[in-house]
Amino acid sequence: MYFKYDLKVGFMRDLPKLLILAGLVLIANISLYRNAELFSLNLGSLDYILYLVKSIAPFPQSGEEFRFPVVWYLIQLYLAWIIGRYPFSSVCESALIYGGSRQKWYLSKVAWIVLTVLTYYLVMIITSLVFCLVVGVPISWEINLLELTEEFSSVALFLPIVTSFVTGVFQLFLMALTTPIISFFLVAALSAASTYITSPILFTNCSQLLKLSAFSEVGIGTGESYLTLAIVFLVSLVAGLTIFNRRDILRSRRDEE
Amino acid sequence: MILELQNVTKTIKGVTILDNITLTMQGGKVYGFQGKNGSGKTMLMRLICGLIKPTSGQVVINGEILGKDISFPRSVGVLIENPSFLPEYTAFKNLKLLSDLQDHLSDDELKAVLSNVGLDPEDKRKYRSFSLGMKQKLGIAAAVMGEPELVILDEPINAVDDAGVENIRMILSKLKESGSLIIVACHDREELELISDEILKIDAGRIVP
Amino acid sequence: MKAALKLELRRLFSSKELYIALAIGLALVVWLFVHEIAESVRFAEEFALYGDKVSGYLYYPKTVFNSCIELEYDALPPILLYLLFPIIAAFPYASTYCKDKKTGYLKNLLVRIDRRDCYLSKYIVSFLSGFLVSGVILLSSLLLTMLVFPMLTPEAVTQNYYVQSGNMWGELFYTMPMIYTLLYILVDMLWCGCMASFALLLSMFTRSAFLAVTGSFIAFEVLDYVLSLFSLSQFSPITFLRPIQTAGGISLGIILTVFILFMAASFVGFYFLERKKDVF
Repeated sequence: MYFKYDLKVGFMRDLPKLLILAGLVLIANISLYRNAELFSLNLGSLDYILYLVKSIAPFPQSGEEFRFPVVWYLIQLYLAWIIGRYPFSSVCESALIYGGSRQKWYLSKVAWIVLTVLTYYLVMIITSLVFCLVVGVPISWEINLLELTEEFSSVALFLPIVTSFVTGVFQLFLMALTTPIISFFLVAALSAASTYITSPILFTNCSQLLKLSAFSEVGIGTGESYLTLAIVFLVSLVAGLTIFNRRDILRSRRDEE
Repeated sequence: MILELQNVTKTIKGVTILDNITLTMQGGKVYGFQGKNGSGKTMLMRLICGLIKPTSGQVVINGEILGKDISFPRSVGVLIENPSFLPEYTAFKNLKLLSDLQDHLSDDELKAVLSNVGLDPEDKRKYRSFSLGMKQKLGIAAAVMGEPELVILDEPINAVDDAGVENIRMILSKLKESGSLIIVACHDREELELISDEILKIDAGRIVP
Repeated sequence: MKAALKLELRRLFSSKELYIALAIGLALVVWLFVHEIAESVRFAEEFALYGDKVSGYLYYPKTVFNSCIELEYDALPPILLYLLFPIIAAFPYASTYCKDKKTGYLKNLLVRIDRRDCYLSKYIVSFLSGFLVSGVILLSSLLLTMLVFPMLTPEAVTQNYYVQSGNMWGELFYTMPMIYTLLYILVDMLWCGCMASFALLLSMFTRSAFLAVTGSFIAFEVLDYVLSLFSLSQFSPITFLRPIQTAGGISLGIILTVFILFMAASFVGFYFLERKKDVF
């Protein structure tokens, strides 16, 4: 029941905001296209999609200079912004009492995050594909932009989506614990820190393709990534549910958001 | 419906808001909460509808412990402080969204609820352009739709015109007849005495004789 | 005006947001301080063991001018601080206007204070909040570093300093580094004030504190990215905020021009346009 409400109020109403994401993806695609022309790179449509989540190679292990991965960061930041604005807003909390269960309310937000993340990535993929069609980049599923290591497995390609979902659930837990602004800040800091430090503990590393062993000799293993994400998901879910079950819903708190 | 508060105490940041309240209320009656500002009326209402948890003691509704067996009363309508609705939706659409969460009332039933509180169900104006009184009426409509077993209204006649007050009286009387337990807090003493079967005085978080 | 300003200042200094923002910034300062000491100790031990073979560069001890958060270029805390400055600066006060609209407190103010005074005082205090928070964080780092590290004049030949002599005030950095650092801290303080004012401008369009505070942060990040695509990073506040100057072509003229543009936009928007809006 809550999910239907979340679908209408939290999801459908926010769909136009994904146009900003599409704009951002388009700018990133244009930038890659310019570089591909400049350096005569032979890229396909999958490269344009992966470019959005490739980030940078592990620093300093890879020996490359640290260059902040702005595209990856902005994409994660905007998702955190979309996730942060709805669940503890007054319109969402006001529905709480009518559905009858705190647990169901919370789980419905988790389901809403799944839907939001999937749609978010779908918009990224569709925008990139449309761009490729328009400018004449071949639609192919070959990877030329990144070097594949021996550990490459196509399962690794889903890690950005799974990581974004887990980050969303983690953010929801932080919102239950603190406030949407502070939780957004913490996720923004976590994402920024993970560009600099390569470790599965900073689990947002798992959504940066170049930090994975599938694309870098010194990257994090795919299995290790999924295991870390499973642990973070379970801990965030249980902790979030427990905290939200005990939380007092006070007007003064709502006024602060 | 039987609602029992058993030695309920609520403390926030070291301040005791509700102090060892024991109380039994039953369906088919209107209970009026009377007390000074800050006496704990609103907090008690929030506690009864499950929005806040008691520090000690428990709230039992029809034999089920609130916060343990159930998160919120199974059939409840609430108006506490400013109601929150979607600003870009009409009154009907706002009500429809909330009704989908609970009772799935038909469009005709929802329109009847809106008419009963004195709002035009066909009004195409968005909630954001409502006057304070209209917002309050919509809040009451949301609280009473589907004739819940437990109705909690905090200052329901705030900003409502005379005709609206009359409508509210009629709605409460009808709900009472259908067996609902109604809890009302109101600063207007005369109005409270008029609509209540029993007045409960609250002072410094305690029920006083 | 005086009364309105006094009221808003009192609200700023009694808000928990101010202290949360300071705590976050100071935590980064302390983190860097501990990191720098550990690095220095490690380097000194290696030097004692292996002499100058430990590094390919000429040995030169760590100084205040590559250990404080403003001028350290190789550690995480300064990256985080400068990246998150727009949100740290906006957090203490910029959301106040949204809350005032949401709770109805704005009406309370407007019937008691002259409308112009009310909006002007909010604008000034918003600027001050960013100015002060960044100032406390940056000066704390400088002072803390001065407790432990020497104030030796930077030597470019050691390649331990990121500021290039061709950068804005580059010569000053290698001759009078303390003046350079203090001047840049002042630039950062002014800019953080500007960022807080910009968040206040966004609060014109929403009642949600979340949207106002985080929206300005995202706007500055997007601006940084778009400018970098056109090789115009020197115009991005996120880039020129860092005293190590990670992009070429930064000049005082650019910093001041962009500053005036942002300040003017937020002032016109908030003071002239928002002031004239009906308050419901």
